Amino acid sequence: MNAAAPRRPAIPASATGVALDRRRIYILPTRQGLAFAAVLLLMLSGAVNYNNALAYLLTFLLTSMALVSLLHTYRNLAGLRVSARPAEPVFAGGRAHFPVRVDNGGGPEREGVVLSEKRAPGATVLHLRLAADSHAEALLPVPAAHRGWRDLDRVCIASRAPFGIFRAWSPVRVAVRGLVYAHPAGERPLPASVAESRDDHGHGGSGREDFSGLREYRPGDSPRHIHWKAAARGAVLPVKLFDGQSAAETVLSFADAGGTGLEPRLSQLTAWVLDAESRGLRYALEMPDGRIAAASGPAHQDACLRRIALHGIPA
Amino acid sequence: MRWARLTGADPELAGWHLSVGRLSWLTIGLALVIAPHVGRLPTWVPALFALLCGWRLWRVRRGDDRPPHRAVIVVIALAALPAVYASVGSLTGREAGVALLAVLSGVKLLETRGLRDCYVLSYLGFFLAVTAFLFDQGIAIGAYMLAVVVVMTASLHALGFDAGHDPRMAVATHLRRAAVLVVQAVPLMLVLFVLFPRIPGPLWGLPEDAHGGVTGLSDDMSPGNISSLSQSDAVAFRVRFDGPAPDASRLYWRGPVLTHTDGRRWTRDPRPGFALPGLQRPRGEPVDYEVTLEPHGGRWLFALDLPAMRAAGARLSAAIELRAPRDIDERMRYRMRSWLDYRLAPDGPLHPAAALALPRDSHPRARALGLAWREQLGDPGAVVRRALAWFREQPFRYTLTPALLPGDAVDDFLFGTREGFCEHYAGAFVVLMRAAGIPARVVTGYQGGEMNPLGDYLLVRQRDAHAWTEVWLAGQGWVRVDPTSAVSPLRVERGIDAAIPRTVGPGGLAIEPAPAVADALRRLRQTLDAVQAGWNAWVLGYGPERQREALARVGLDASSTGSLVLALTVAVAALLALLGAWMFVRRGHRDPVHAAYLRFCARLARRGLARRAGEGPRDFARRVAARRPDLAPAVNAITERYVALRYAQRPGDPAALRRAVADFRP
Repeated sequence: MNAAAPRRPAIPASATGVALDRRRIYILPTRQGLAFAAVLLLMLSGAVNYNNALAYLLTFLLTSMALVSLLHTYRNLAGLRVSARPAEPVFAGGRAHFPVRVDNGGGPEREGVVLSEKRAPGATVLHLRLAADSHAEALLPVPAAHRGWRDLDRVCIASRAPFGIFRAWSPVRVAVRGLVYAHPAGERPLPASVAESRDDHGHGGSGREDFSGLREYRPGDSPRHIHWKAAARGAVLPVKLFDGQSAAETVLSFADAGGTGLEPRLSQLTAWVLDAESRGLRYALEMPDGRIAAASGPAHQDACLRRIALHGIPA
Repeated sequence: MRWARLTGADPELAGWHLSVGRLSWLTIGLALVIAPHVGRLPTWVPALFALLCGWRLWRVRRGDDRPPHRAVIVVIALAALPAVYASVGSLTGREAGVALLAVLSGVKLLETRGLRDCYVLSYLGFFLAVTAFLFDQGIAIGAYMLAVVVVMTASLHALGFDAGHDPRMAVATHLRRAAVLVVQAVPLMLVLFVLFPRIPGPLWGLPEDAHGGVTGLSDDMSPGNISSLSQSDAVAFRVRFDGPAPDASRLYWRGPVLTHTDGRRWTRDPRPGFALPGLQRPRGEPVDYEVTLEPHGGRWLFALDLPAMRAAGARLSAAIELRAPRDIDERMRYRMRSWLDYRLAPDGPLHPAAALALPRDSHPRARALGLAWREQLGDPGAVVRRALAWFREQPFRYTLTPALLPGDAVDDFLFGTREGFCEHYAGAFVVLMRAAGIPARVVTGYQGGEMNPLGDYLLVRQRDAHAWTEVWLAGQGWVRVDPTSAVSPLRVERGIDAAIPRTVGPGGLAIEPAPAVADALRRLRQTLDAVQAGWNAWVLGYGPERQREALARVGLDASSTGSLVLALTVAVAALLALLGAWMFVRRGHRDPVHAAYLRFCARLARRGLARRAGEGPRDFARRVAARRPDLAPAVNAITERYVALRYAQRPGDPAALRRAVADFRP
């Protein structure tokens, strides 16, 4: 997905989602189904040739079962409601996780319901278990290769139950999207703080800040700051916070990010933002089209990453 | 296209693996289809199949689902061909085909690993199921295969879909799904069976052994071949009379007429010529009836003495034998009319010399006896009566297991052993008559039959096979004489069962069951046979002809394929629509727990508290409780009960929920 490609504005996902009905559900025989049809033809020609009544009966029974199984396959999808919510931001090259919800609108138990973005090799497929009058929720991971918006226009919900000889599917328009931050990369050191007081070398030297506490891990935190010993005791990943140059201000400027092209620069900026945040610095972001005043904290970090991610991308 | 890109890497099928459970399903399905063949196949075939199954299961059980080395598979598959050839004697017939399929499925099982292989095996199984019908089309095998289809369908379901973690529950779920599908498919199957255009087969040449294992009357008669038939309970034919059935003593079903003898064996006149009109001078009313003849591999059609017409396509010989143009390899129906009082060739036999010929230098004592009677009595009719009286007076015995006659068959029987079955009596009687200068011949066929009151038809079995004689008397023509009746009158009046006790215990002693038991047994046998006859007529005999007849009754012209196909399409579409409507309309109302909860929601909705689409039961309860705190206890109780029934591991009592909902009055 090209970052420069024009984008449609995201349509907010409706609360109830889309109910699948006759016009939306497609159904075709699978390869196994076609092979089954060939076997039936073979059996039928045997029945005709030997004029064998029981061979006729068996052939017709299997034919009828195939036809009836078509209804069952269809019923696995009919009346389902599919909805999705926007994904949490991820970094380019990772996977965006869209929360999807499939509601069995008072229907019977559904079998073999799978959901994916599209039926392509390597795509992640969710296997949903839907009892009667229940719903299933899951995170659908989709690859997010490029910064900007990752649209999830439609998902494909399908089923081959009960016998795998038919596949019913329905492309469902969910129209949600998730933000993809630029991929953090770059070798350049963090720019020096403006209100220089203690650090002569221009960047917050590691180990000189005072340890100030722990908080929960957030995407973008440096692994170096994870408190591994504490992590071993609990479920959440604690991250060490340092009380460094709280009064000083680091300016992360597009102009300083160097690099040979736009994307490496944005990657460098992203890496800086993460670094600065993990060190607990106050940092400002200067982009060609505007400035975000110095601050720190998760909201600020997210605002900066978002500005970088959407640089040059129309809303 | 998408197809091409997806070959081998459909993400929806990724993560599938061959579990022990899946493999067991496949193995059981295949074993059940092969089971009916076990008696027919060389012993090593099922043994090899079991061995290969066991090996594969053992390996997969140990967590190793890799197939054995390719060379192993190739060697087994290649060795199977000569092995089958060696033990069956051919590679093309039914037995060889089934043996090869069975070995092939075992070998395929050995290398089965992916989902695709599993489907191939399942389809192989369905195909093997059909092959059983080439050997046997009885009700029992049909019912058995129906059950097997349920198992194999359950195995297809188990291949693709998990049904929970509890293995016993999973087995039940798979079987239930399959059974539901089979039951729903049955009406559609019947429509297809009735309406699918029947083409008179065969499409290609049938293998020579396509119609194996039929028994029937042969074209000739020598001591022992009719008595061997008498051991067989197999059905020869069934007869439905238009009017009342004639007396048992008049039920002579005429088959081949044997004129030539070499002293031991009786054969037909090779060129008997064809019947000339006017040969018969019937009296009284004819008997009309319909015969459903079981395949017997020969060409004979049987009719009451004396047939008055030709059955479809058959020829009537001068000796009044009905002969079909082809071997009767399939069950066949024909209408027939007979004269029970007739005069056949009163003006003289067609070939008097043939009807008097005896082999040279044979049966000297029989010839002398015949000649003596003739000289003594003069009148042929008196000679016939004298001969019958002689059979009656001399110590002759009617038995299924007569002593062997290695010397002169007729003399040794008449003056030595004096025990024999109908063919002995008929043959010896004709020799005596010919010796006395009376034209005579042997007639073979069936005598008697058992009336089935349930189906209102007469059942004639192979053991009713019989041989009698005809003598030509001036002015009367060919007259039927049954020497067996002189020895054993019961045979003709009450049938073979009365004449010879059938149940033989240890030491050859006859065991007569108590009359009540015998009666009950007979009624049971008759019921079963009536069912069998219906099955034969409406299932097995449903061919192009019967289809035309049946559909004509509802005004459908079955000879036009177009209208059949149209009717078929309409009927199938209508049935599917009905089934679909039923499946979708009752959706959600099948589950009593859910239905109770829906009633609860409906009551709240009437008070303006509708459950939102997608709203969970607990969320809904919280919302209701916030709006109507007075209802909170009842709503929470019902909701918790419902949630427990629906989602908890240990379900509670659905009746309690139903009662709580019934008492709920918001």
